[in-house]
Amino acid sequence: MPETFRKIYDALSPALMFEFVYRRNHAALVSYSISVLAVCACLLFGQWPASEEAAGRHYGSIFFGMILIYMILVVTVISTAHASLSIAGEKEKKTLTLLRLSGLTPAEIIFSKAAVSLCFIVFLLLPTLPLALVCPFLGGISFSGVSQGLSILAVMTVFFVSGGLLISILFKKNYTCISFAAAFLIFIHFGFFVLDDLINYRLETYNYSRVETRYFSIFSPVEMWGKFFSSIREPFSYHRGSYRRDYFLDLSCGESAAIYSAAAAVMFFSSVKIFERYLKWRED
Amino acid sequence: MIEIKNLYKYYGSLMAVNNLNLSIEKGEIFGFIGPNGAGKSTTIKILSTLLNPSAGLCKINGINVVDDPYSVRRILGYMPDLFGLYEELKVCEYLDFFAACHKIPYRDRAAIINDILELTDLTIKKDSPVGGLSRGMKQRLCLAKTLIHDPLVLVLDEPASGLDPRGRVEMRMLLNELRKMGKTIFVSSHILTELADFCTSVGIIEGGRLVVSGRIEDVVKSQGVSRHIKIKVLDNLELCENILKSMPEISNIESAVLEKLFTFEMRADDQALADLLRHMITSGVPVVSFYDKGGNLEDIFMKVTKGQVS
Ligand SMILES: Nc1ncnc2c1ncn2[C@@H]1O[C@H](COP(=O)(O)OP(=O)(O)OP(=O)(O)O)[C@@H](O)[C@H]1O
Ligand SMILES: [Mg+2]
Repeated sequence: MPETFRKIYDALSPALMFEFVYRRNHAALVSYSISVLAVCACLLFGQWPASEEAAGRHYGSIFFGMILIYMILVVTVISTAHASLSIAGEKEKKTLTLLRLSGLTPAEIIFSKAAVSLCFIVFLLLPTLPLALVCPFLGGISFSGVSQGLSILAVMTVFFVSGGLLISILFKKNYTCISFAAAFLIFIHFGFFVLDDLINYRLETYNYSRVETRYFSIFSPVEMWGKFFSSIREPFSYHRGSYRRDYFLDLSCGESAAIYSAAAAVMFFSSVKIFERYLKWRED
Repeated sequence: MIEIKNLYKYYGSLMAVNNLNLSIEKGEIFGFIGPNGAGKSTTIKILSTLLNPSAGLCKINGINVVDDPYSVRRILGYMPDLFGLYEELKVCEYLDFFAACHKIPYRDRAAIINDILELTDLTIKKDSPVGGLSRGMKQRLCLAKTLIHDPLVLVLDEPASGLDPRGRVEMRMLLNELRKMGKTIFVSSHILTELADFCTSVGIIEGGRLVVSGRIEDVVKSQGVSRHIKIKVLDNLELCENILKSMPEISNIESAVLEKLFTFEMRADDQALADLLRHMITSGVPVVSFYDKGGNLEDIFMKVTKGQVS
């Protein structure tokens, strides 16, 4: 077992070493983390129950919701952007040729890049973690609720990192990659809603019955997080409006997370395959 | 060590390499010469498993570059003509990173890196950031990176471009040193004089086609290019000049009376040169020095190439 660990570490070490030991971005990372910590602390104290009576009002769940929204934003934007620039950056710097000849296999390069992006996100979110763990003591949410939220977040991180890596492999320039990463995020979050609206419009169901059927939008992270939030925060009203929504396929947030992890695995392995072909013969 | 057979490479309809055949023995320094756009870089990229040949066979140490690129990469050091660097790293970190990529164990790395820094004369820059190096130093750093996994074959694409005259001389000495260590070196250039005096064999490529190749002496002989000879005498200049003028193989005699120097071109092999020297001495010409500047690669180059690009 230790031998396997050593092998994995040896495979990852060049990339990790490169990113965290040699590239001197600690200063930015540390100052960023501290500022995040400060903002969250201010929020926490702003929300802290002033009296016994107020303590009964589930401040824990409200506060966890706020932290989680912040974490979701960071994960969504930064992990996709970071991963989508990882290999494209090497292409642009012309250092991919050196990496190719360096004896690293394509799979190793991708694994290391993914590990670097994941570590980066973990570093960014590290200061908010203790704050999230304080929430159960404030009431309104249990430890299992917090851990469920964080594990869904972890799945989403992996999903966005794989998406970013795939984009990074498919396109050559940083600029293209970051544009496609933005397009990917927008599509994943809102594209399914537009699709459903189009379908409902074509079928004209809404006009007769004032019932809107949701086909694909259940796959959007927005929907998944909405379900999670409504499960931890009672007053949060999710079904609003003058018409009803029917779900063609109803998934709990856990099931959605499972789908996301499967999608992440598919994207990851397809990017390994594409990268292997790309690295074998690049016509440049 | 390096074997290329009937190699073709097309870029769309453009034929960049046209039926190239080469065979290079172990321990040779092969100079690959050609004008801009001749197909040197293309051939080198195919050799170093970066480009797919359209047709033909390339073998390095008996391994086919198409079938098993990973094994080839393990024994081959390729230095690109245009290369990228991680500017924010320090020189020793840069090398350490690539040593790690080559799976060199941590405890061996420091020693290897120190050796290589010494070899490439970068020891004083060990702790400076790569981005702050001069062009020539970057070039040497790239060469250092190429050497880090102790490759058997070195493929260098214009390693001396961007070096000052001193840097060129040092690069030459470095390559000679590497050759003594038993490495086979494939080096491309379009500056002939740079290669002439240390390559053991050359190939001249033009428009994707190999025009001549072989050991330098053989190439000089087969092309029938005259050798440039320089003679310095003590006195008796007239006698010397008469001897030279009497030989039909000798042309373009130039004499510098003050320095007592004669330079001339001669189409001859080594035996004829020795005969000439003996003849002069027996006739009473006090020869101070007799110097063969060698087959002039430049002449061969000008003779065999026509200035066309594919
Ligand atoms: N990626 C490419 N796509 C299309 N044509 C290319 C490509 N790379 C090279 N060529 C063409 O192939 C021919 C040979 O190019 P190559 O780079 O091998 O020349 P070279 O001998 O290295 O020249 P130089 O001395 O300038 O480095 C040129 O005509 C060039 O235009
Ligand atoms: Mg070139």
